[in-house]
Amino acid sequence: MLEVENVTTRFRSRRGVVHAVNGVSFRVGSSEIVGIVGESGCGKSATIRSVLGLIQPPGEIVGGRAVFDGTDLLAIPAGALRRLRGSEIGFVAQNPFGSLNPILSVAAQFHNLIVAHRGRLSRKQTRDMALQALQSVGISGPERVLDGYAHELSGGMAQRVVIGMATVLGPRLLVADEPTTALDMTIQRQILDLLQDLVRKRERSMILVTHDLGVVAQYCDRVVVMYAGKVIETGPTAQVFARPAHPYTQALLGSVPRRGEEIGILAGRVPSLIDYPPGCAFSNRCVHALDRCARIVPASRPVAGEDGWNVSCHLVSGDADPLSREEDVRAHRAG
Amino acid sequence: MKAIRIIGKRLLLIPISVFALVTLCFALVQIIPGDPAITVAGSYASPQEIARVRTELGLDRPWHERYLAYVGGLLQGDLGRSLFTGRPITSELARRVPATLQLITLALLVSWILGLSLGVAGAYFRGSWPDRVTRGMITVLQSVPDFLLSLLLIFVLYFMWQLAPAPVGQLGLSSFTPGPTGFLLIDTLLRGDMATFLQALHHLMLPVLSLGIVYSAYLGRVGRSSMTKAMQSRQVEFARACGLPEWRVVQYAFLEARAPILTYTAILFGALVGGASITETIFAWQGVGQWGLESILKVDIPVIQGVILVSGMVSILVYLFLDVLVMLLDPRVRYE
Ligand SMILES: Nc1ncnc2c1ncn2[C@@H]1O[C@H](COP(=O)(O)OP(=O)(O)OP(=O)(O)O)[C@@H](O)[C@H]1O
Ligand SMILES: [Mg+2]
Repeated sequence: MLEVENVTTRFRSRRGVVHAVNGVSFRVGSSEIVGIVGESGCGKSATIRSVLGLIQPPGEIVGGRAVFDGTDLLAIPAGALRRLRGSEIGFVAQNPFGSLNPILSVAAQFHNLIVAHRGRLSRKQTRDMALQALQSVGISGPERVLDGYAHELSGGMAQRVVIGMATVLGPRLLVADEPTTALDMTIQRQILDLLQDLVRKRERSMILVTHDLGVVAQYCDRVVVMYAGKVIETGPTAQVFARPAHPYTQALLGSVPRRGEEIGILAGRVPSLIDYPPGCAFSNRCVHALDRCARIVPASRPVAGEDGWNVSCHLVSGDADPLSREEDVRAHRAG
Repeated sequence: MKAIRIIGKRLLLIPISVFALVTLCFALVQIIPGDPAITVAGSYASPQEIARVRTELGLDRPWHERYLAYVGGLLQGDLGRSLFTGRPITSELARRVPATLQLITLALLVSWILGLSLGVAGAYFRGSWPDRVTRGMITVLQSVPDFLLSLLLIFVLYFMWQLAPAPVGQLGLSSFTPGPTGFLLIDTLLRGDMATFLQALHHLMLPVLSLGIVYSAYLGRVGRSSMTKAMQSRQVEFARACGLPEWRVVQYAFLEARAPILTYTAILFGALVGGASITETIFAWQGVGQWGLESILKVDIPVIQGVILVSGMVSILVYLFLDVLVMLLDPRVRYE
């Protein structure tokens, strides 16, 4: 359904070029929920913004492909990508209040969205579509919400409205960038359940960006672990969580934070994205680091012959079981 | 409803502002250093003349009596008479205020179109070459003195190309007597006098362009900064993520950015009522600002008072109008 390959995005800033996304690859199958996790600033948002064509100057996509149903989103004209956004790919952002226009009524925003993709329709027609969308996201008084404005909604309601707008045209892929971080704990679960429901029932796919490993475990079929603008491990959630191959993933899972908590772990600091390190970006914090880790970028390799489970780490050899890594390390230290 | 409460509060401020304004105008006479009567009559005036001026200014009476008399006069629409022409200030203002309002309204319209185009384009193309070009243009416009631009436009558009009429006022030679509103453009239309209407428009061209271009720099700046902020907002990103066309995205941003732009327009409008004096003088516009400038040079105190009073009143009303407008346009304020 979506195949992201080697996407590379940079931001020019006063202090230098920020290497926000460095050759990110992952895939989203049909009817699949894929979670993207990683610490703050590791490039999760930049990755999905690149795929959706939402990178604004000073940001720049310098390479890669993002093939959605046979079309490379990064290669098609801006107008064609615009028509896919909103109709084929729905986007749900982190802050629901910020996402809605503060001046226009909810109905007007639905209207503008629908006519942008479906051409001239009457207010009545778009209103009916909007009503249906709001009902499908579990809003009980949709008429009142439609005539209201963003500031009148609670956080959970606003996020439901946003999800309603993202799904009103029946997209096949949903992209949600930390859709619940700005919400109360109690509402977070409702929103995630709603998203899961909307995806599973209509056989859609979803990319779910989150800080929260608990959320990944519960909702995602596959997980993409990002570190410093790179995917360091990706695979089926169950396998990755049971036997994480990359030392970073292990560290993450070893200190699973409680729900809603930031993942902030480990000694040492994330490398600067401006002076990007030459080897493995994690090597300075890795307890198992070898000599070559700081010099040579590890290639992405399949883990233990598992389909779709890949890791970028020198410690993991392609054919060996990830657990044999310990021997590898021991051998290295001895030798 | 919240809106009505806020408007009510805002209206309560009006009498206070008006009181402050009137008091300021009155105090003006006392502030003038030395004996205002001598300043006004000139140092070669005879004692009788000075005494006459003193009575005229009411300086022979105690100040509270004069204040009451002044306010009493204002309430009856009597602003006094010019010390030099002896003509009542009220009737003179009735002629000049519409001339000025017409001029600055059109000028601000030009500033809006020109300035906001530059500002919005700069914000939209932030960081790339159109941004640098528009920023450069705004800086250049802001550094051009208004009198220089007026003279330049007269030279090019009147003297060289004959595209505009000579700078001889609102109509030049014409038998048209303004009325009922005093606004030439409106009066001519009301009476169906198309020829004079076009003539008035033609005469407006150069002063409107001069003022409009100079002040577009200010609107360009405000527009650029508030649009830049709005273009980076989450709602604009979400609008893009929804696949809205770019013109709609800009519209969404503008809806968020317009409040400071409107407020700034009100401030400019208020400042221009008395502040377009140089342009008015160059074009012999016979407006409020020109009159104010002349009377300051001649120390025609009642006229200065009248000009300050009227531009102050216009400012107060325009601020009120735009405050309420900005509020009514924003649902966050409009409803509880
Ligand atoms: N407009 C920009 N200009 C400069 N640098 C930027 C810009 N936007 C993002 N970056 C940089 O790109 C990197 C990745 O940012 P991104 O927002 O993708 O992180 P993230 O993983 O989504 O983090 P979070 O979990 O906090 O949302 C960061 O180091 C950030 O500083
Ligand atoms: Mg983010």
